[in-house]
Amino acid sequence: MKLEQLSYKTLTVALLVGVATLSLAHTLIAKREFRDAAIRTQTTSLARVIEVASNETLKNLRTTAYTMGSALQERLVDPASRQLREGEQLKRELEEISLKGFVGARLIDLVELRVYDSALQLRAKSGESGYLLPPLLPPFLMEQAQNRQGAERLKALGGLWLSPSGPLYSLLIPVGGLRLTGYLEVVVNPTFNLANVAEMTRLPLRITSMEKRELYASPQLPTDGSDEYLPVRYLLSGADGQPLYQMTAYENIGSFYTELHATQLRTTLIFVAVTLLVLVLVLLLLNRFLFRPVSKLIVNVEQCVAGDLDTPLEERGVKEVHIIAHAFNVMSRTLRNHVAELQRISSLDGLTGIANRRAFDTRLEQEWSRALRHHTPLALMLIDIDYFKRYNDALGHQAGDHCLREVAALMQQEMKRPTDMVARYGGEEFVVLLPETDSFGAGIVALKLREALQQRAIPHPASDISPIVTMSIGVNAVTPAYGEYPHALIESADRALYEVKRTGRNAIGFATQEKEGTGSSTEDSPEGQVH
Amino acid sequence: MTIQKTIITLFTLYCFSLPAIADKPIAPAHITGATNLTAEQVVERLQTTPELVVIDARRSEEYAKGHIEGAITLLDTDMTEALLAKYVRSKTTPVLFYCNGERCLRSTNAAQKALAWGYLNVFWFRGGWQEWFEKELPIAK
Repeated sequence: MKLEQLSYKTLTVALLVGVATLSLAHTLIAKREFRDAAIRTQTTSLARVIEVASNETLKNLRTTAYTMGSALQERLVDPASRQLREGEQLKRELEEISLKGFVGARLIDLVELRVYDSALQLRAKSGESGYLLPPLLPPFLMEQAQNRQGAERLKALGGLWLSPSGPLYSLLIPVGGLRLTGYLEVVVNPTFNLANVAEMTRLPLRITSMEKRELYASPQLPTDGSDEYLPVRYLLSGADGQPLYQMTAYENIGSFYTELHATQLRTTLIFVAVTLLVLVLVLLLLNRFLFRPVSKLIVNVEQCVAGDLDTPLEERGVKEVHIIAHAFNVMSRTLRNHVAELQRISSLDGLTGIANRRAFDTRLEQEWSRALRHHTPLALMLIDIDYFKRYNDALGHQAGDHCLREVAALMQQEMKRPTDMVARYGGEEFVVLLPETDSFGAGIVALKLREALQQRAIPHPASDISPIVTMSIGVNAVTPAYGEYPHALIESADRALYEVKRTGRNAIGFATQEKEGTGSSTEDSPEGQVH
Repeated sequence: MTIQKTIITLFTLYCFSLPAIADKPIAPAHITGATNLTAEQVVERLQTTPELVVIDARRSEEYAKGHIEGAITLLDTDMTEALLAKYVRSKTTPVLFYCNGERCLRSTNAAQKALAWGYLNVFWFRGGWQEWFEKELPIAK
């Protein structure tokens, strides 16, 4: 298809639809990006939640251990000497505490209680815990405790650490109040407390050690490959910064997906609906203000091209259509004026193509002068088509025009001599000028004209006298003399015509040579009678 | 009309909130004539200055739940010049006041009273029990 065959309408619609389709496609593609981004954000914020919950849990654990420990440490000091008790006594105290319970026992999972002297040497520990713990402070506590000075030494120290038997939490509490005599180490199993994170976050939780040993699992834990659940991982590190636990929470992605899909569907539908609506609206507006006016413009222009310069172009629609239509109208008006002017100054009648009245008037003057000089007769005929108005009313103006053209043409054909002239004198009136012709000669020509029209037999549905078009002719011939003027010639012919009309039409009437022009009598030659 | 209504509402709310805000006093940053101490500084001074008298200006129930080792319970409003003199021998004896912390004005009150009575070595532990406890320093009962 070549470019000039492509309608701009098709182009516009195709373009709009194309853009709409493209943006729709883009939405569908972007859908996936948004979903992935949403999941990533979800995962990140959930990991944060686990982190916060874990830290909170450890903080609570520490507080519990500290409260308990600082209450217990009094029993480890001999009130008299203000020193640590003997090893055996210590052990008894520790075992009694661990076995008989203590305030807050249910809140922690106590592994062991240990007592160190002020030089950080182990003096006693409670029972057999089942955990393989070396008889030393955990390294991170040892390091910190040794390097402290002054008031710092009276503060508790604690943290998560990795024992040979797995992750533990130790809290070192100074014994003896302001008079430091030793330390109490409270060793607990933090997994017991960390399990609370499941309840805090309201998520199924799995806690594993770094060697993938499962330490805790919520009841009804989904499997890792499940589509319904998104595993969110957080690594909990010990006091030395090394990861000790992998906390995995499972976010129910099923409801998330459902909501996501619902949202996506909703937004897509809304987007499609809005796009279609806008598209339809745009097309309607374009149609009203651009397409239709332009089509109308094209129709009007083609009318102009066909010759109708009178019907103005409709100035409707967008600016450009207005501009074009207006310009065209101006041009058309100018053209019309020029044509009218041209017609005016030309010597031809625009409709019939024969000479116009102006040309006739000029010629009449010329022939009158010549006839005057050479003493030759000059004949003039006024011809009027019978019942022409009725013809127009019955068959329309187009038919009327066509009839005039035909009549003019056949009359033109009868002008045998070069000096003979037929001209259009008025609406349905014609005039024939015959130089060097007398009444007799004019009469013959008149008869010939009548015959020609009769032979043409143009049907006339509204004539009272004939089924075909007929004409009335008034003839006058004079030999010009000084003191006479051409208009008298016309007037006499006109009177003769009037008589013909009066007495029944479709006839030839001759003017009498009357002075003063007081009327005329028509001499009807027998052939001139109405048929 | 609505703008005026909004302004009136906000103003009324503000007025009602004033008492609530007034409920939360904060102890002043410094007391002229007294020396501010942090918890660590209190520990050090306790270990280096045996004659330092520590006054716990809180109620006795709070004191019973836990206090700084060696502190004396003496509610600020109960403290009279005679009573203080009983514990603090001379006007040059160092004396430390504390209560619950920033939001408690008892130790402020007590310290100012002591200064007014002419005590020269007044110390003030502004952070109070809250700071001591947070720093996990030894609790005496």
